[in-house]
Amino acid sequence: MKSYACIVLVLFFLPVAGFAVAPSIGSVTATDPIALAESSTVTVWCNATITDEDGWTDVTSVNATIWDPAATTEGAADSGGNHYTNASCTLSGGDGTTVNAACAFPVQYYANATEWTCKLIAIDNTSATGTNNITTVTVSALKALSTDSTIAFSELALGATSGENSITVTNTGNTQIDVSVDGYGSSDGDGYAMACSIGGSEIPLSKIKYNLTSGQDFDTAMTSLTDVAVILADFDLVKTTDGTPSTKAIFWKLRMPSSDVGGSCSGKIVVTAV
Amino acid sequence: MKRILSGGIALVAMLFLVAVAPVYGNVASSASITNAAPAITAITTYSSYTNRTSNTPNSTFGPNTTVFIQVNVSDANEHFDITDNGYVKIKIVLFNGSAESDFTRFGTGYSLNATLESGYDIYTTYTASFNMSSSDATRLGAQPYAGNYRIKVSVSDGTNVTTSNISASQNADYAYSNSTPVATTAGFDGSTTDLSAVDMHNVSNLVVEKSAYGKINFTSAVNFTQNANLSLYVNISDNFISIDSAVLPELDEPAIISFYNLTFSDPIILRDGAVCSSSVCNQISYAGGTLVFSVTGFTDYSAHEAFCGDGSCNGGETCSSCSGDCGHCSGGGGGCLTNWTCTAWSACSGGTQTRSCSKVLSYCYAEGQPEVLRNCSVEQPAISNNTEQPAAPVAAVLFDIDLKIVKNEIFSSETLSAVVSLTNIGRAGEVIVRLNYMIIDSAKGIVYSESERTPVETQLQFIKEFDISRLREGSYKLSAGLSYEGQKEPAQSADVFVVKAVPSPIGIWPVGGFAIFADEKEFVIFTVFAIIVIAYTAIRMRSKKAKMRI
Repeated sequence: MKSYACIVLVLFFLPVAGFAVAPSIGSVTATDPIALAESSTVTVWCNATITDEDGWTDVTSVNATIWDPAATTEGAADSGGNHYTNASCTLSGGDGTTVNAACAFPVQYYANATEWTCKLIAIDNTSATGTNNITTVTVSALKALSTDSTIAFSELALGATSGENSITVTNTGNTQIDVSVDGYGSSDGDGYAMACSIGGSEIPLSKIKYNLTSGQDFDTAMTSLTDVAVILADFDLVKTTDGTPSTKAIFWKLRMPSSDVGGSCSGKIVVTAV
Repeated sequence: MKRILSGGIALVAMLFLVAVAPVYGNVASSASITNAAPAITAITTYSSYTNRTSNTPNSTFGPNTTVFIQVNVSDANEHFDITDNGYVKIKIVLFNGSAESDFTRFGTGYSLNATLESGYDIYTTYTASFNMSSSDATRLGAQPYAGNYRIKVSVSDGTNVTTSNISASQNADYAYSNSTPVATTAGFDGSTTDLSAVDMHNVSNLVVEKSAYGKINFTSAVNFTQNANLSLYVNISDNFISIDSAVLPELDEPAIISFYNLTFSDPIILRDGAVCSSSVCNQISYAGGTLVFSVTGFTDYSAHEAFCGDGSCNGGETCSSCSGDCGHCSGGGGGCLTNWTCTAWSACSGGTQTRSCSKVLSYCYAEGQPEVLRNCSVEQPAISNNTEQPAAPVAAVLFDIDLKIVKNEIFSSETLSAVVSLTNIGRAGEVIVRLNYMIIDSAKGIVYSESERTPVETQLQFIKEFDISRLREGSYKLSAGLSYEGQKEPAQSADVFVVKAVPSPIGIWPVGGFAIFADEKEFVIFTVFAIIVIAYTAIRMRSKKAKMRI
C-alpha cells in the first residue's frame, strides 16, 4: 500500500518539476556595420528568435547589452562611448514555442570605432534564462566637425589690424582629427579672402592670418590664409568620451588693405577634418 | 597611423569603415571698412580738352569760349566709392579777390554735375564744361569787362557705405578777359591793314603786303582768337608767299595773292612746289610783272615760267611743240585729244601697288597710258616685347623721302627709273601722301612735272619710271617733294642724271666728220661686210671686163 502511494505521488509531481524547460535564443543578428551620425545618435538593433518548449508565453522578458569588450565589461555601467543596455526588448510574433525579440540601442556619435559584442538574455516565468550573443558588430569611424558659422572682424579703418577673433572647432565624430583651412572671397578659387561691396574691390588672402595659439603677432607669427587647403597636423582634436564637446580654437586677425577697398566685405573660411 | 588621401581625408587604418559625410565647416567671414573721405586733388581749367592727360591748362578765357573743367579726385576706398553712388558737383561764383558772390546764371548751389571720365585704383577724373557768355562780363558792371571767377567743387562718395562723406569744397580761380588779341605786323608795308584800329574778332578785307614782293588780300572776314605774330608766320618775299596756317589757323582762309616784279613771260602758279590745281588756284591776271590769283587757303605759293609738262597748254605751246600739255595734233581729220587722270596708288600689297588711270575725256585720244602697276616693298615697324617700358612720346606724322636714280647716264629712248623710299619717322598710321616730281634742266627750268598720291603706313619703297623721250642731251636733276596733311617739315630728295643722244641704227655716231663705232663688235661686222661688198664688186667688174674682151 505504501509503495503504491509513493508511485502516485511521484506520478503526480513529476510533470510539475521535470517539464519546466528554460528558454533558448537563436542566432543574434545586429545592425552591422553601425554608421554613426554626427553630433547625434543612431538606433542600433540586436535581434533574435526566442524558443520556449513550454510555450512562448512562458517568456516573460528579454534584455540585451552591447558593449566594446576592449574598453569595458558586460556588467559595467552604461557609457555612450562603450556600453549600452536595453532591459526590455520588444517581443513580437509569438507562435507556439517561439517569439521574436528586438533590442534597440541609441548609440552616440562618439561610440568607439571598433568591434562590439551584443548579448541577449531571455527569462521565462520560472526565472530560467537563456542567452546568446554576437561578437562582430562593427562601429564605423566617423570623422566630423562643427565650427562657428561666422567670424566677424567688425569695422576697420584702412590699413588697420583687427583684434583677435577665434573660430571654435568641435569634434563631432568618434575619432581624433586634424584640420585643414583655406578660404575664398566670392567664389572658391578666386584668390581673395573677402569681396567688398565698393566696386568689386577685394581683400587679398594675405590680409587674413591665423594661429592655433592666442595672442600672436600678425606680421611675425601668424600664417596667411590660402586658396589651397593647408593641413594643421598638430591640431589633434580628440573625440569626446562622455558627450562633453571636445573643442579647440583657431585664432584669426585681419589687416585691412591701406587703399582700394571700401564698403562691407565678406568671404568664406573652410575648415575641413582630416 | 595616418594616411593622407588626395581628398584631404585621413583614414584610420583599421578593419572598420570610415564614415566620410560631413567633414568640413564653412565659416562666413565678414568685415566692414571705415569710410574714407574723398579728396579733391586738382581742379584745372582748359580752353580745349582732349582727354585726361592731353591738354594744356588755361585760366584766361574770352567771350563765347568754352571753359573745360577737369576735377581729379581720390578716395582711399577705391574710385568706385565715388563713381558708384557719389557725385562731383560744381559751383561757379564771382570772386573779387576777397569775397565770393553768386553767379546767377549758375544758381546758388553746386548745380553743375561733372561727368565721369575715368577711374582707376583710388583715382577718379571728372569733367564738366560751360560757355563763357559774352554777357557774363557785364555782370561786373564796368569796363573793361574783365574779372575773376571761381570754380568750387564738392565731392560725395555716396551713401552705400558705412558713412557718407562730402569733401571740403575746393576752389580754382580763372579769369575772364575780352581783351583784343594783339597782332604783330612789323616788316609789312604798303596797304597792310592797321590791326590796332579794327575789331580783331572781325577783320574785313585784311591785307598783308610787302610792296617789293607781293600782297595777300583776304576775301572773307578774319576772326583773330589769339595774339598773332604775322611778322613771324607770314612770309612775303621774292616770288614766294606763305602762311604757317598751323600756327595761325585763322588765316587759312580764301585770299587773292599778288606777286610783284616777276620776270616770267607766261607764269604758272606753284603750291608747295607743284603746279597748283585749278580747284585751289585761279589766275586772275598777269601784267607788268604782277601775277594775281586766288587761292582757297594757305600754305606755300610761288610762280614759275610755264613749261612743257606743266599740264597747261600755255606759253606758246602747241600740239606739235608740247603734245603732253596741248594734246596730239589731229591732222585736220577731226577727233579730239585728252589727258590721263589717275587714282592714288593702292597700299603696297604682295610687293605691288596698283592704280587705275582713265582719260579725262573718254572718247578722245590720249597718248601712252601711265603705269598702273609697279613693284614696291614695305617694312613693318619693329614690335617691342617689353611692355613694361613706358612708350616714349612720338612726334606727329613726319615723313622722310629718299630718291635714287637707277642709271644716271641714259639715252633719251630709255625710261628713267628711280628708287623712291618713303619713311614715316613719326607716329605710325596710314597717311595718304602726295608726291610731286620735277625734272629740272641745267638752266634751272622745269621740263617735266608729275604728281601722284599713295598711301604709306610706315615705310614704302617703289621704282618710279619717267618718260624722258622729249628730253635733249644734257644734265638734269630729278626732284621729288612730299606733302601730306599736317605737314610740319618739308620733305624733298633729288638725284641727277645725264641724257645721251640715241645711237644711229648702224651703231656709229657722226662726230666731226669721222665715223666711230660703238664697240669692237660693230667694227668687225662692218669691216667684214665692207670686204665682202668690195670683193663682190671687184669680181663683177673683172667678169664684165672679160666679157668685153671676148
